[in-house]
Amino acid sequence: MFNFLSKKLRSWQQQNQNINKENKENDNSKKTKENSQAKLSSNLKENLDSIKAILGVCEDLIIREFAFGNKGQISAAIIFIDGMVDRTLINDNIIKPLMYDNRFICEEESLEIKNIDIIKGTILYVGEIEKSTTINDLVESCLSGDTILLIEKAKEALVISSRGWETRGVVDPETETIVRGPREGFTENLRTNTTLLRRKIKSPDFMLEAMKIGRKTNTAISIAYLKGVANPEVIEEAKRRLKRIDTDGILESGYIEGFIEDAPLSIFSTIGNSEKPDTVAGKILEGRVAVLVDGTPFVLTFPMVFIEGFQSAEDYYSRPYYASLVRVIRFIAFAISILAPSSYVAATTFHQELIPTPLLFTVAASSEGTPFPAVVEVLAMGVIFEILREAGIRLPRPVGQAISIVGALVIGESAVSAGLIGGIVVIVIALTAVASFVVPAQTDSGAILRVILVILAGSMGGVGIMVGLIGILIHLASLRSFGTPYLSPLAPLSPFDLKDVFFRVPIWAMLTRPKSIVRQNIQRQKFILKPTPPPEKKDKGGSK
Amino acid sequence: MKIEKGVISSSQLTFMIIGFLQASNLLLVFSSRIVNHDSWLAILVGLVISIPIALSYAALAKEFSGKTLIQISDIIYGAYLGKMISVSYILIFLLTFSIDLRLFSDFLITYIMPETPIWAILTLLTFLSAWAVRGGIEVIARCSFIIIAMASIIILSTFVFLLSDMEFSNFLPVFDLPLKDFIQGTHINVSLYYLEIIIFLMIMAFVNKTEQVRGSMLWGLILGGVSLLILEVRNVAVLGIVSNILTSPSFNAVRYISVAEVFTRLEMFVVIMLITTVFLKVSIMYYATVLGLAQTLHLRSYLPLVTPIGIITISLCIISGDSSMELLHGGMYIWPVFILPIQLFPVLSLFIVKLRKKSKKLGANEE
Amino acid sequence: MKMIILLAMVFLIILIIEAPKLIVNKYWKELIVFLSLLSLAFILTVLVILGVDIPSPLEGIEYLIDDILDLSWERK
Repeated sequence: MFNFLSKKLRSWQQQNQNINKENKENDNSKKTKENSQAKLSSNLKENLDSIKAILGVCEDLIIREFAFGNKGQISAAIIFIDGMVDRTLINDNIIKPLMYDNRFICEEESLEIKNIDIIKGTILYVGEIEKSTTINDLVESCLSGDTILLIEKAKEALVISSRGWETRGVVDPETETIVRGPREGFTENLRTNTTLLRRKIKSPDFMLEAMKIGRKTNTAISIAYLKGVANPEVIEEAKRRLKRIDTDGILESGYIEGFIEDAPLSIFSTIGNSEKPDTVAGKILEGRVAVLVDGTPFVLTFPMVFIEGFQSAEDYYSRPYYASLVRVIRFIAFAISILAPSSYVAATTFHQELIPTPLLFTVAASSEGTPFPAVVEVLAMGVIFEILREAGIRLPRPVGQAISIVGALVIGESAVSAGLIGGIVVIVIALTAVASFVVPAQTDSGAILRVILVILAGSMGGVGIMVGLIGILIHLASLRSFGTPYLSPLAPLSPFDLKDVFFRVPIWAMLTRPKSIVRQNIQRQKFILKPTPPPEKKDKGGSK
Repeated sequence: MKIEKGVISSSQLTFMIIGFLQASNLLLVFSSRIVNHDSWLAILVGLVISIPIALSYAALAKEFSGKTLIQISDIIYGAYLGKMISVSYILIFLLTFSIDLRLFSDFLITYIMPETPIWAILTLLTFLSAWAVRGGIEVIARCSFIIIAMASIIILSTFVFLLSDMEFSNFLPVFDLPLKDFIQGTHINVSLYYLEIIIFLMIMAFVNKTEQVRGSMLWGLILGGVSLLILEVRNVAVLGIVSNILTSPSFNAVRYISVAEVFTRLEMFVVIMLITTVFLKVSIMYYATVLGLAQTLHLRSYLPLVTPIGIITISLCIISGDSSMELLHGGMYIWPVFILPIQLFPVLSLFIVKLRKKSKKLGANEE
Repeated sequence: MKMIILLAMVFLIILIIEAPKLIVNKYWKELIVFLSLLSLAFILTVLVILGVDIPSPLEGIEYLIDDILDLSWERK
């Protein structure tokens, strides 16, 4: 029977592989037939025709044919996609120098400018120009916003960087609002995003490596890290995993995350994301690697550890005492958000003796006469809360908040007064809801943990909760993110890194980068940087 | 191919030993029934006696660094005798594992979940441990720090909260018992929990720095012993003579806590501490059993053994002892005697190895 | 009887989860050990469910220590 099963399995796998191969071959063969090997010919008309054949009847493709030289004897064409290019740049820095300035040169010189290198070297006023010979390359760069200059009798074409399209400005990010700190956030434009990072880390060690992923979308991504600090193995591994991706499209960094994360089946994410340049720059300085994806303001950072979700950029900008207090409060809030409903269920159904007597009376009075057991009440209220939250997000903004607040109040209030659910359940769920937003990185995993724990508590009480918690602990302990244990620096314990877990030590005491992430260049600042009053001058001649 | 790819640090070994001993909280009753209020002395003397033996375990592990107990006995005693010794080790591990699991489930049934059938609790606990064991030694080691941090906080804070309820006259008169009883109590202490760390001979092979094993063994043993001492002092000082007839004195002692009349009924913290540390201890023993079996049979992976061994353990738990009284009797009079020779066996192995080395050296010199 | 059918189903699920991995990797020795341990476990659990009085290993140890070797602490 098992032979049979395994045979089935194998044949299925093989079939799958075959299908994949066929797909690839199909794709590739189409490409090869049409363009990739096709070199440019020396005939301008032919070249234009073959490009038109590939791009077909795209209405946004613009081909401008013109002639230049002192008598207009050299015919040429520029090709670009409308809306993806900077028109002023094309008019002023490509067409104008070719058509206008060249009128005033003598005939001998005019003959020389047929040479494409001379055009590139002496005439065009554009920063980035490359030469290309295959039609495939030309089409690809044209589609990503470059302008192509084809000249009669030249077997090469110029790819002129002229990207410029409408983008959203650098604005305050919505997901990570802060009180103190820089207000800029990443945008949808990859170049803007790398600029934002480069402006924070002005070091030659700050590396940005480009890559293109997606057969159809050709999405540009960029791997950012600090050379000499980030673990080379992590960088290599990241590149390996990124190169493995063979899909038709990448629309958001979430796609990349799904393809490269260590634990694809876990409810915890092992890759962090952020919308704020200062957060990402801080992580890069700690030795992490960032992946920026064109078309999304969310930048991926890894290796990610569990406690990263409890750290916020603002912790490092405010004073250490308050920052440490907030840290502890975040841990408490997270504990409340996953434990409050299940504890309520366990205490009311199984361990009434654990509730202090005065409180017990209140609880008993409030749940008196409600028709459902505590588990059902809590689960139902949890579902209602999630619905309200989802509705609040999706509805148009002005309506959304009103709906969610009014909905919660009305449903909660009337359900209690109608005797459907106990008042305490509403309090517990409300507390949970508020607490779950304190740690944004774990909000989604927390919602699932909550449900699991409530069910366990409903079936086995306190022991069920403990079993659930130990299970979560085992799962967290078995996770790794790019080689770094997910629970570090707690487990495996690295005592020196505890400086940034439950409390945050003053900035001048943060001597090292996290040891679990960085293998080299571990010291990040000088040893004695604690501010001290200036040494007293020995002779105080003036004061006498 | 290596059967276990994980590597743990020496500090993680320390944490695991501490957690392993803290889980013995439940076993404290065995000796305190015999030595009564002098049990703290028995614990202390037991600790002092176990230290040299534990150090010889560490020396054996250092002598064969990177080898587990099974591989060591294969090397020392050859293929056939070695196999027999390995099998007896594994059987002992399996038995200890099932007895501990059984005792803990009995505790849970008595105090918290009286309605639940025992197989449900056993299955649940075994499932959790199997999950951890499947993750490998690294996962168990990583869980250990968080678990012992929590357990230590609970031990210390309950001690502080109970200070006002303690009657230190409960310890008087000191050493008012026949010497034979005292020796028996100490023997129970040594065999039932201190020397159980023989199981760590299966795990020391995976410590990254072999030279630090000795230190971490020593520290683990001392810190674990001290936490047991704190627990026992707390129980006897709070409960007095009553503590010797209860099934779980810890649970009953903590019931006395009442801070400002609001924080009462803190015994759930004892349960939390027990569940987590027993989970750690059981996982370590489970791991040692499975790994030992796989190494004895020269398998390439221990993962396929995890589930069957778990099920066998559950059935062993159910058939071993119809009541906790039977287990109690066995733990007080039979088990320590049975297990001591096996626990001392590695010392003999060390002795043999050292002798052989010396004779080789002598032989070499003579030539 | 119901319990035994249920139990057999549980064991079958375990078999289906574990065995294919071993077969695919050609771990024949591991498969043999796994299967024999699993059948031992199955026999044990069936006996427990049927309420057959299996002698506990602890009783055997007690007999060995107490009656044969006469080493129990109780006697001294």
